Amino acid sequence: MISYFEWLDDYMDGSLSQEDRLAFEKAMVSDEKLKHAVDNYNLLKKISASLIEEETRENLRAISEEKHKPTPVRKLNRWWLVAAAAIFIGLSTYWLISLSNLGSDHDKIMADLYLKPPITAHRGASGDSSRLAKAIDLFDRNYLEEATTLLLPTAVNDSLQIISNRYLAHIYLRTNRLQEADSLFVLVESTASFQQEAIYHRMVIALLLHDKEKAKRRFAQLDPASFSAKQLELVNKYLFENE
Amino acid sequence: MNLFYFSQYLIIMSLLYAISQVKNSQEERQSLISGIYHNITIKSSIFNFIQKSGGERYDASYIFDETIVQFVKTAFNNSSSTISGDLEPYLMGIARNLWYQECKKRKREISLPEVISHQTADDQPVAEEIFLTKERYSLLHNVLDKLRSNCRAVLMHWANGFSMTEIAEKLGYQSEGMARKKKSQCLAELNDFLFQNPQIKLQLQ
Repeated sequence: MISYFEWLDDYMDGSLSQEDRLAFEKAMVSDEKLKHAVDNYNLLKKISASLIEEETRENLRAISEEKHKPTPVRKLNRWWLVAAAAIFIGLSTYWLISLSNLGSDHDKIMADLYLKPPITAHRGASGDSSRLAKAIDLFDRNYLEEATTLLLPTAVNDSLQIISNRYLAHIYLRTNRLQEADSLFVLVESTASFQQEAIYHRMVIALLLHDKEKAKRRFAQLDPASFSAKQLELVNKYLFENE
Repeated sequence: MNLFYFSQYLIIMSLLYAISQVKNSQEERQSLISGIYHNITIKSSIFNFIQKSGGERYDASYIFDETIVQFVKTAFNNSSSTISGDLEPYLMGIARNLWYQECKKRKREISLPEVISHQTADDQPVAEEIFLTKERYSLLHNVLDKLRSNCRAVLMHWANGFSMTEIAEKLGYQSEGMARKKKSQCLAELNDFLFQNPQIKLQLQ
């Protein structure tokens, strides 16, 4: 059986023989998908051509994520430095070690439990809305400082307040401004579409602040259907292990 | 110039060599993109230019990323073997043009004499339309997620002007015929998806 899809390019550039062209057109009458492909040939090609753009953007995103994630090697070096210091300065070393542990706990909790909001399309027409779209784009690419500068003014605009606060809350959480992040997530929690996300991250904040009981209470408020089984398993590990 | 040196601080690479890296394989593209991204010289040149032309730091970071996207896109699609010169000035040319277009879009009145002079020069890159706006990107991401990775590679090469012989060679198909067959199957798959999702099609048009 002839696959007329293999003839598509030749049909479109007019290089089929008269006989084949007629056969192709006859096939088009009975095959609506083939006709659809002919009618939308340029779009199919444009989408396919844009795959290189998509691949490059994914590469840039991966590089940017890599650049902004905590570097365990540095922590290890710092640990060794603290351990070495312990030999010389006795009791004060315990304080340094516990401080270092706190830092690594924080990074581990964030690496395991933090959920970055998925990339969303926010159409920005002009003014604040356009500023918000740019801020979200910067957030997606991990330019947190620049995104904050744009989000602060949009957070006072009534119609953009919730979405701006949502991203500011994430930025504060990622930059370890936990109390500020918590208060913003409280505001975000009032919106149904972000409620689970806000409760979840308030639970993460409670864990980061070593308040396991509060974290458990927030965990109880979560709807398990909103999270993957793997994610819930990780949370369980932090909340209920060693009990 | 065929010599190249590519480090965090210095980028002296012939444009032709960079283009061949983009076209050769996904691994080489990744390594080139990473090299440009981490190169302080090119990054600071672009950041300085944007900030001196009235842009903010976040504008500079946006233009820097878009410059890389634009370069890879243009290079992948390039079929000329007569291109000469080095990569760095070429990237600067793209950045200038992108910033010029961005300013026009924002209707900002800033003085950009250098940009205008570059725009008219024949040997400078022209910033093409970036197909993937943020909205299209999210949409397209959903569409392309449905395609298997080998399909994505075949379609990407086909739509960017690679011959079936080149596709067979680069992607490891036994013959030109096999590559052609694979391309048709993948195109049919993409066509099916758009056929079944006319709303998405409409938004992508």
